Amino acid sequence: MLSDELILRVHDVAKAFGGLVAVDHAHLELHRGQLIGLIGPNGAGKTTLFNLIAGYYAPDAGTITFEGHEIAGMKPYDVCRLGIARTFQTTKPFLECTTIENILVGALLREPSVKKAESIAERIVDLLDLGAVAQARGSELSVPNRKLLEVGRTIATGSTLLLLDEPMAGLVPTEKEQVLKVLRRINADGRSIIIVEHDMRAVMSLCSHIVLLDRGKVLLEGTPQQVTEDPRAIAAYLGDDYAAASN
Amino acid sequence: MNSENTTQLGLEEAARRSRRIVGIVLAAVLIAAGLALPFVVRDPYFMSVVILCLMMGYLSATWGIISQTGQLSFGHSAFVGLGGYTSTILYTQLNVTPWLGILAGGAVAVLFGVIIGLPTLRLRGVYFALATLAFASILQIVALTTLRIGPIVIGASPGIQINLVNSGDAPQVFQFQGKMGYYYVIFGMLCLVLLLSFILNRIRIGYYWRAIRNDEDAAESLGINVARYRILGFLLSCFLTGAGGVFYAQYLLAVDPRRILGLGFSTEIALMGIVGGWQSVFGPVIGSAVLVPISEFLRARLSAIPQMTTVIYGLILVVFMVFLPQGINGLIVKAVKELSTQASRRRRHRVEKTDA
Amino acid sequence: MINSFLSALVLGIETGCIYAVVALGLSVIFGVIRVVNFAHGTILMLSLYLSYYLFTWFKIEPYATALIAAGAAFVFGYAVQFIVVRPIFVREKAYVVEPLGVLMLMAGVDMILSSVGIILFTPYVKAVRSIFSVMTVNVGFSTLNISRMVPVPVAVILTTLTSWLLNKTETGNIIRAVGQNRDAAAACGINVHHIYALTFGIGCAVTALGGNFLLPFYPISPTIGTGLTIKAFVVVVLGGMGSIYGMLAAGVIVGLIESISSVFMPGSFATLVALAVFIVIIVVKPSGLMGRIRI
Repeated sequence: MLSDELILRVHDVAKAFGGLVAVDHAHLELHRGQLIGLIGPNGAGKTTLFNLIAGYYAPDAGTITFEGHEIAGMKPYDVCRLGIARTFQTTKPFLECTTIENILVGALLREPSVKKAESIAERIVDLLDLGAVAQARGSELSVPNRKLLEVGRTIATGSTLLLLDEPMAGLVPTEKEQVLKVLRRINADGRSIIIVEHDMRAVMSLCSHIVLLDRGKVLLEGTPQQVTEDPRAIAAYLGDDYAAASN
Repeated sequence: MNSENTTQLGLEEAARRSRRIVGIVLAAVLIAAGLALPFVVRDPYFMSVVILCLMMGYLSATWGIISQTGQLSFGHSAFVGLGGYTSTILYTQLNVTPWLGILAGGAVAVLFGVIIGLPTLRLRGVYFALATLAFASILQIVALTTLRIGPIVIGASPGIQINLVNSGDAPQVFQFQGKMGYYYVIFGMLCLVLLLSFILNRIRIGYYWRAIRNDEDAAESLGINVARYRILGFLLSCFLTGAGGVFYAQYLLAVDPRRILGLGFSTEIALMGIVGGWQSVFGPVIGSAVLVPISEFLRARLSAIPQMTTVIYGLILVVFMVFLPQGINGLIVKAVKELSTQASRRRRHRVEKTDA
Repeated sequence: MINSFLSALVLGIETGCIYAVVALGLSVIFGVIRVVNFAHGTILMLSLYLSYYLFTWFKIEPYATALIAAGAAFVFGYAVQFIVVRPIFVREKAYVVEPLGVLMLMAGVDMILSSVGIILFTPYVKAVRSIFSVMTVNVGFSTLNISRMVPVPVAVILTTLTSWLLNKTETGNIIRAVGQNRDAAAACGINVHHIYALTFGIGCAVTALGGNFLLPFYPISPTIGTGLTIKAFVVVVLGGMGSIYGMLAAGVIVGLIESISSVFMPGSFATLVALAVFIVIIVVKPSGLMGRIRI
């Protein structure tokens, strides 16, 4: 459900850690309802870009505008209040809390009543098929379940933009199908998503727009078709086998 | 399949409800017993141990509120002392009744809490603990060496004494004949703090505190202003602790900086919190309920070697840190969980059997 | 006036070097491998008593007891770390760099050791009187006690030695690696728990060795431990975690702050100033205290 309204604009953003340039004047634009795939080799700066948007780092240069607000340098909780939620590459569940409680915390952002937040959490648990581990503590969950938990937490916050950092890493194909179904569903409900993923089939089937990041720069972007056929993408990330396989 | 799930869910709900009823009944019984105690027990020594128990329970419970946000305070005596000194100075020099002094003591504690808390709460655990320790030590040095600040008498080393009014029978200035008055006051205060903690734990702020102490970054990603919720918990604790300090001063009829602002006092409070279960609602009280009687018993038996009490305290602390970091409360929680898992397993068998 | 200032200066440097000697071991234990040794001063106290009794019963000169005390402290430190602290490190993940549990644990150990000290040694202050205790030299503005000046070269020598050990030897490299990331070190085949224990032992030994030189003039009692521990933490943090020379400078600074302030205000206030400096440093410029790196 793609609209023309531009809600996120990352413009000329740069971030360096000492001598290491992580993000090198990157641009990104996202429209309401869009589902963007962010791909690229390891170390390309994808997670750093997420951290910059979500407020964990302040950019050295450039601007980040979300729904009219300038969010570069804002604190993560203020960014979340404005409507951006993110997951973490290395999962960070609340270890003492059960799955339900984890997601409940996310829901409390817009629903201060614990009871109502709990029912929101229960619905999300059903949505993600986490019923079997609903009462298990974060410390007891397997990594794939932790990834699902994080996705659930972001959904619970009611945010308009979700930044998902490799939510399907480590999942088996049936679990990936489940996540894809959920993501398509919430995208259909109007939420925008930027997803970092290495599973190209998932990215192709899910995203309408792909951005390829390499060494902190946006190498190219376009429709899945355009990107995967571009020789630069093949050289930098996809590899010849992929090109051969898809032909 | 679905009917099995609903039956299962229904039984889980019923189990949860029955646990709640057990909890309410238990609380009612304890409160009733507490209210009746002074009429059943007449021995003043026993009563004084009970009062000490309740008071240390109160102070550990207020200490525990800071732990809820994930920080460990190693200088809690500072706020006890601030409360006690404020109300005592107001009473002995300005004739303000200590009942009002409770509010003043709490307020002064909050003020100092802002001063030390705002810059230090964001520090990593160990550094926050050391900072609170340094803070309490600074206050103690000031109290030990200052005779007066302008017209206000601080009293330096021996502190400030409170004179008996009407041989101690003066409830209007927080003095009671015998033990009963003090008992009911501290019993009431303790119940209030526990109720407050219990409620806070079950509403949004409690969940946010749990999130913060588990993972600050993840908490921030969900819109939680970590610093704000931390300082809220800290200041609440400061206020309640200051109020506790007022009771302490009135019960002992003195504020002695060597005791009320001492590192030993801070350590004792933290010790009870940890032994009982430091991030739980009832843990600290359990800790004091266990440790105060033990220490009184040891004090009586080993009066020849008073340091043995400290040795045993130290041993208990070491043993708990190594083997039982979640304290007694952690043990209880684990036991309850075990029992309820077994119970739900039995329920599932029953459901499966009826379905079949 | 100038005389008292100069005396304060000398006293400050002397005191500062005492603090540096006490804090040296903690600089290794806390500064390098991040073990919050809250019992540091008390362990030193025990080694001082050992030296005291070696002197009183066997007439061994205080400076000679240094090696014996150091050896005993090493063994004791190794044992404490290996037996008591290790379970917590096993339990906590590596990204929890300084587990709080260790602080409370060592506070418990501190309680045990100082109380046992009071029981065994009685709470009364003892002093060692050897020939060194009364040797003095006149320097114009004041008469200086030789034994009080001994900590100065001792501090410098021990600091240099420790820094060399940590930075220029294989063992030192291993220790620093473990301090930075114990899981990674373990993955490289390092016996992490042995290294922790070894370092703890070295820290205790170094402090016992240096602390021994305090005996001829520093009266001891079983309760001096905790106060020294707090001073040591102030000095280590002020100097910057992991920097041994920084710790030496910080010790001297604290000593000077204390001695110069006591010219203007009562003695115990000087400690207050040091504590206030401590709080300000960890809040404003933790340099050495790494700010948490966000993902």
